[in-house]
Amino acid sequence: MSTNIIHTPQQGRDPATLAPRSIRIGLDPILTAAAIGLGIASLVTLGGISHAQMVRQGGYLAVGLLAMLVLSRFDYSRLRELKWGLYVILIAAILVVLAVGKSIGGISTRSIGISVFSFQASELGKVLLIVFLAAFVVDSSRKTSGRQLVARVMLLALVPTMLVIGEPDLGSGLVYVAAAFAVLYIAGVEAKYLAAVLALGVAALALVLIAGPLIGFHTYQAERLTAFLDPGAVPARDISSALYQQQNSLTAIGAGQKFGLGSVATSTAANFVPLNTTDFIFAALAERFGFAGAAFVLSLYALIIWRTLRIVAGAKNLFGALIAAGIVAMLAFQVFVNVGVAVDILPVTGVTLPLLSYGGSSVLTTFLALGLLQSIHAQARIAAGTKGRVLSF
Amino acid sequence: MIESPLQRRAPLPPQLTRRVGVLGVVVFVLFGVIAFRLWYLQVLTGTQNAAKATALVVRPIAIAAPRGNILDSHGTPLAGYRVAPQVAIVADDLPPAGPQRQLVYRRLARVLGIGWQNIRTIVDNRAVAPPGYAPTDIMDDVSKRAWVYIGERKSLFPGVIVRQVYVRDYPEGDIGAVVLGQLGQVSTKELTQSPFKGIAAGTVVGQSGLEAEYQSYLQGTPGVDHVDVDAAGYPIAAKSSSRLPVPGDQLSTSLDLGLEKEGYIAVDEAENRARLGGDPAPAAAFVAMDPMTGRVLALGSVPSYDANDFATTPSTKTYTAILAEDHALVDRAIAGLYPTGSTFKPITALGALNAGLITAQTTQGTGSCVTFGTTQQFCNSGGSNYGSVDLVSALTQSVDTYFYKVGAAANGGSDPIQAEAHALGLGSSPGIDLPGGGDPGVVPDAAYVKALNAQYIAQVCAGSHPLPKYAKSQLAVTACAQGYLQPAWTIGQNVLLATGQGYLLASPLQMAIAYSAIVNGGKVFSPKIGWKILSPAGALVQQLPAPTYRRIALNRAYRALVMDGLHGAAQSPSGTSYPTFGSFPRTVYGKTGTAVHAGQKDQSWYVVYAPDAKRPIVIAVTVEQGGFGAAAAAPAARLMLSQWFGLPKHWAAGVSQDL
Repeated sequence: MSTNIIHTPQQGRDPATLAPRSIRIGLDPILTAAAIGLGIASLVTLGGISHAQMVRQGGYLAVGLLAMLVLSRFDYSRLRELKWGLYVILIAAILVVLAVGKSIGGISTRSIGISVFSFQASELGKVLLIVFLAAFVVDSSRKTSGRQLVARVMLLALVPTMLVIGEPDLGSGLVYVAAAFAVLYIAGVEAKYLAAVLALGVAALALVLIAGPLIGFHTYQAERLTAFLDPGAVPARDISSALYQQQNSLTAIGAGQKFGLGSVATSTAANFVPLNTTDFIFAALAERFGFAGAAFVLSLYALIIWRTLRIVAGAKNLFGALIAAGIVAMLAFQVFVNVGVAVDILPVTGVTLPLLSYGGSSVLTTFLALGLLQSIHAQARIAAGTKGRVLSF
Repeated sequence: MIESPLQRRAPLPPQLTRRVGVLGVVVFVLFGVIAFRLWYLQVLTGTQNAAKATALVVRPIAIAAPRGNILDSHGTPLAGYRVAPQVAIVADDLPPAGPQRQLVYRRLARVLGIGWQNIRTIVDNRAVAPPGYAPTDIMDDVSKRAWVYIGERKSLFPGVIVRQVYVRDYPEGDIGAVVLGQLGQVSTKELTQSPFKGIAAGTVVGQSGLEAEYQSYLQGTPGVDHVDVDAAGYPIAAKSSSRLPVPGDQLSTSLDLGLEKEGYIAVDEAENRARLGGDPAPAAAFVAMDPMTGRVLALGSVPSYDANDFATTPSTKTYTAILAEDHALVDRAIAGLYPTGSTFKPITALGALNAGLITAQTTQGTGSCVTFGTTQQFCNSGGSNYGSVDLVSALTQSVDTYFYKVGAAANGGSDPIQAEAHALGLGSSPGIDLPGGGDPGVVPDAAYVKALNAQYIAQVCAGSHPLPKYAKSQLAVTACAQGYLQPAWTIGQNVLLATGQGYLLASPLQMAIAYSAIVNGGKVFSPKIGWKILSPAGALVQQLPAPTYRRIALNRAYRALVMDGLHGAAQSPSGTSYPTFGSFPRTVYGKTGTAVHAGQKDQSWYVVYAPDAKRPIVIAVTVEQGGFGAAAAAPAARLMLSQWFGLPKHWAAGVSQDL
């Protein structure tokens, strides 16, 4: 019945103008504003530490913003048919990193930036895995039982997770687990199967922390855990110890007090807190701008998460909802773990703070995730518009 | 409506909204935890953390090692170390260059009582960019008031630290100052040069004398203090850990402190006596060495300065005062180049004997003057006429006319006098173990005068080019002013050379070496002061190489003739220094010298050898503008010999008018 309309449009009317203008723009304004706000916060914080890094971060943010805009114009649904391709890319990238990174002994290649590629693979892998898992769940949900689905998803997620943890990048591995968990949860899997997923995550952790050292894996995660649980066990003056980072971060954050030390926030600026532009950038932020600044930035993250949850609920299809759910888990987990480490309620786990941490791959990955969200949002608006549905949340 | 498979909607699970809600609640609970934790850290307990934040980092600060002692041959320290309060600057912690940094300089300068530009100069010249929190020494031995003032107002002095450091200590002050040498912070330029490579910026190193020559042994290994520092870089807590510095090894020398001291006392006495007699006597130098081993027993130069002035950075005032002295920083014993007067005559004698120009039986020199050609007339001092004398008598009485004849006879051909002088070490660097090895001086000949003329014409007469190195010589000083240049080498110059005058330039050390070679039968030594290297505890680390020597042919009979002449000069009643050494209870061989300088008072010289089975010694003494050799230098040498052999000391001046 609709064939006539499609093939013979009304005289003088461009089909594109049929859609309302707001739908063509398609961006969630609050989500976009919050992301830009975080980008500005990142630049301001970096500006107090390293001018060169601030300038480069500005470039990363601009490229990321552009990537988000481009991605938001595509229909994410097309990614479903590419799922196995995405998975192969994910595994291959991580394997290459493992092969290259293995030769650099003793230290995590990711955190000190010897191998930029290592960093990129595990960061970009977050988005790739989320899209793949969402597609896999959507395609399998009608054919398989809940138990089978969980088992397969577990297996498929476990492969990249274990590889990344072996890199060793425990932080990204945990993000993978959290994202997989969220995807399954939103997909409607029964609670008992989710409990099994949780058990899997714990087992993976235990494997790394306890069995890992026995077979010659890097043991820094175990040391960090020890340092966190028993500060006295690690010499406080050892500049390389995890405790040293965390204690100095804690002191710097505390010194910020209500409104921050401003330009005299020297502890973080003077590199007394290691990784002050990446894993511990929150310490620099909190020292310079105090509780007010830290709370403001946390509010921006809360805004992003609220909008993302809204996108999950309003997605036009399950695939979109699951992608958005994975992304919400990814962002919330990273913020919680990164800030949690900085404020000393979690052991040191190298996780970047989305959009704030200095680094191209972290910024780009986050913006790609935001681009997917924008696309899901836009497609939902289009679908709702053609059906006369009204979105509200 | 037919949907493509891709757009086919998968059924949204019915519990979706509820599950999204649960997810939201979980996330916001986690955020709440973080927010509360931040509230606790920053608002409830923030002030405590703010205080803690001032003590964040452990910074390594280098502790300079105490330099190893320099000991005399009996183990008495000539140089040691002590602990002193110091103000230093860590350049990395200074405010950025500009008004802010200048303000710190000005404040510090006011407290320390020095010019702020001095501080800027020190920091700009000495401090090296990161890495390295190597503090640059601004002032040592600061007053307690300044020390406390700065320490209590550290916020006013970012980058400035006060601390205790090891400082070089010279217990004898000005005794042997030029031999021991000066210290100074290694400069940015020096850091790239081989003897100082690997040394941390700001380290105090030897810049001259033994301190420089044996720098690598004396330096030691710096320690490290791990100090808690606040954001301004100021140490605020007790040292959390440190590696103590390892003191440098000790340098044991062959110097004898008693003789060294007596040398300074003796030349000082000589100067004072000369001044009473109307001679200005501004400077003097002495060298004592063992003629058999080549080891230096004493070496000194006056005017001197307190060596401790350079153990810490000298103030501008002190430095100006030292510079105001007549070249107090120059070691005249090795770098003071003079005509040597009659002390040169034994060399002339050996040269002439070797060339067959004279024999033991040759007698000549009657009359008070001799004339060569038509214009050049040379006379004995005071117009004395000794009659015709043989070589031994000529040396004993220092008969100029005898040696004028020798000089005239030796002119040209193989230049036997110059050959003998070169053989005995004149005209080339002695190679003593001090930086530079000692100045070479000049043994003049026809080629030298020619080159000197050429250089003079090219450089000085042509324009404002500084005077050449040989400016001390008569030619360079007067020729341009007089509008003519000395013609090429004349017989008269060789006549002057025969009596140690003319263009001849030699240092006291070179004369001591030459006499030692005559005494020991032909070993021309490169003397050494350093003897062995000892650990800080005193154990032998390394025996330094013994003095090397070059052996020359020395005819025994000729040597005996010269020795007879020298012995007669000192201890026979007709000898020139008989009033000084006639009563001396030991056998000595010595020669006076009185070098004539145009427009100045005469320069007093004495070189003496005292044989001894165990402690033989050769001493060379010179007193600039001190009068006749017998009047100033000879009695000073006697005081030193008395000290060396433990004899009663008294001033026994000669009255001889002889050269």
